[in-house]
Amino acid sequence: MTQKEHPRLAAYARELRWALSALPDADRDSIVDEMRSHVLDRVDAGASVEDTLAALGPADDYASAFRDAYTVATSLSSGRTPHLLGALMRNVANSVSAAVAGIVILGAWMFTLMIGNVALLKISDPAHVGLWKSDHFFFIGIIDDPSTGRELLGPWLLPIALASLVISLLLTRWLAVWALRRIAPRR
Amino acid sequence: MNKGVVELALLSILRERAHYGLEILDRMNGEVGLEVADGTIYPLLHRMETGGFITSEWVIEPDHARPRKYYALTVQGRAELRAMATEWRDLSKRINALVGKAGPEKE
Repeated sequence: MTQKEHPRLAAYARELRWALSALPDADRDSIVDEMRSHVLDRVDAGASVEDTLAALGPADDYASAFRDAYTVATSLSSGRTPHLLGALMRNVANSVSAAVAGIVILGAWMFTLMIGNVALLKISDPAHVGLWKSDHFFFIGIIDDPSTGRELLGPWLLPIALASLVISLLLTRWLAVWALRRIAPRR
Repeated sequence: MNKGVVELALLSILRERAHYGLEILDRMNGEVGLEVADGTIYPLLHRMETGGFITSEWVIEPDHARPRKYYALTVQGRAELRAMATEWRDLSKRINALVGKAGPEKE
């Protein structure tokens, strides 16, 4: 069969196999064989190899749907937060759930980064750093003259920063699993 | 294209008997008029199989020179089909009621 194979079909199969290199061998072989079977059935029905391959789309685009599904499935089964986050980020552009989760996670980490920085500054300069309030301002950070406002958090700034870190870690994991389960059908 | 509709059509087609990919695609596009792209059906089948809703098997048919990959519903797939069909009927009923209330459109 290989000797008689149409050159375009052979080239497409090679490109597809290469584009699916992240998948286990058995899955990759099955996907390529099924593509070949699809094309040859269409050709038997009177279509051309070129038109049939064009209908499938470029090999890399065709492979990306399989790759994305595989990434989601493996990250969910591994359960590791970096894998979950990586799979989530790869799906942000094509899933509303992933996009929403990504935005919330980004917001949580921006807040954690901000309050973490302020908490570190608080250790070195406790008199000028904190959550400041007066009749004219309300902000978190460094104040030039502490007598112009009232500091609201005091020593609680560091525990709050640590709590924010823990919450962000848990939120990242929980939202990533939530979004990925909405993308992938579950057993 | 509503992804849920394509999945419902896929599970409904497989309820009758096992089908191969091109057969499913032709039925979806011919009978149902869904206009599913060739490059969409196989990733969907792969995803549904990973999800445990369908199972696949390469079959050599006596009247066909090459093996074909046939897909069939699993027990979980049948349960999913029942749930999706109920949801679809409820939605159709509500939409029909809404369209009925609107009455025929005046020219």
